[in-house]
Amino acid sequence: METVPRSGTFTRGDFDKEVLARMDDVYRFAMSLTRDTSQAEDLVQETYLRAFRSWQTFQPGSDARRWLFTICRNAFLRTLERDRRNISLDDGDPDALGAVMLHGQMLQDGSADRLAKLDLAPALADAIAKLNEPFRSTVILVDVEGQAYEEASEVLGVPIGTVRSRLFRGRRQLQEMLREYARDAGFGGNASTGKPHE
Amino acid sequence: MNSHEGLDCASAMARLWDYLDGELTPEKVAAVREHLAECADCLPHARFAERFLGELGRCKECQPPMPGTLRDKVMSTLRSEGLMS
Repeated sequence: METVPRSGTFTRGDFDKEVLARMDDVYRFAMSLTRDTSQAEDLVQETYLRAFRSWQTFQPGSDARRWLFTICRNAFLRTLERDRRNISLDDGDPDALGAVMLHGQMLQDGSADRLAKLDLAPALADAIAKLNEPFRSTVILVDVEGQAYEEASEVLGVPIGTVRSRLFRGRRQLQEMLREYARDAGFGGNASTGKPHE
Repeated sequence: MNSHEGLDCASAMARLWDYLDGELTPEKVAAVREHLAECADCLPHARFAERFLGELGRCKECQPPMPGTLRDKVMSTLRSEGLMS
């Protein structure tokens, strides 16, 4: 294991305090990955076991949350491998224009106007839970946790271009689900007029 | 589709996510900003995208809090593994 020399002022006690203070963040990230309370708790435990076993690799002064997210993500992937479940690695191309085109359709069918009057955060929280990997973890890192593309690429272990691609496609899927949300609630223009979509 | 200062609508909208995410160079930021200031077609898309991202950022508040017992469980596990005193 590669170790980083401790600075003169950074102690093991400092490490404990730094990483333990991030447990709420790690739990939230673990929940977004597993979508299951029990599995998330197991993943948090595994993350902290790994973190404490390799505490010498933590760079004093670096972002502890990002370091823990990386460990958490890797532990999650190991769990998936153990369960012999597959993760789609088909990233495709960035879809920045897709969201604009979709919003244009939403303006036409009236759902955009209706969505403007609704509190979107609860609907989006449900929609995120329905996203498949690898889009979900990318959206969580960038859009919910506020990580930059570069930071997310370090956590996920993929190039920045892949982060962008996954992010744009994930956002597009979320917006599709918002459109459905407006329709299901009877807010969409088609729902009220019975006219087919354009 | 409109064109302002050399940046047409397609080019501006293709940069919209990067623009809102703060991932563009200052020159590209200025170009997109100028386009949005002058293009009535693109501005609604940008405003919706901005709100969409703002609401996504609020999702952290919508998630259930960590169970109160988990911190004790983790600490207990770390101690039993000899990783904490």
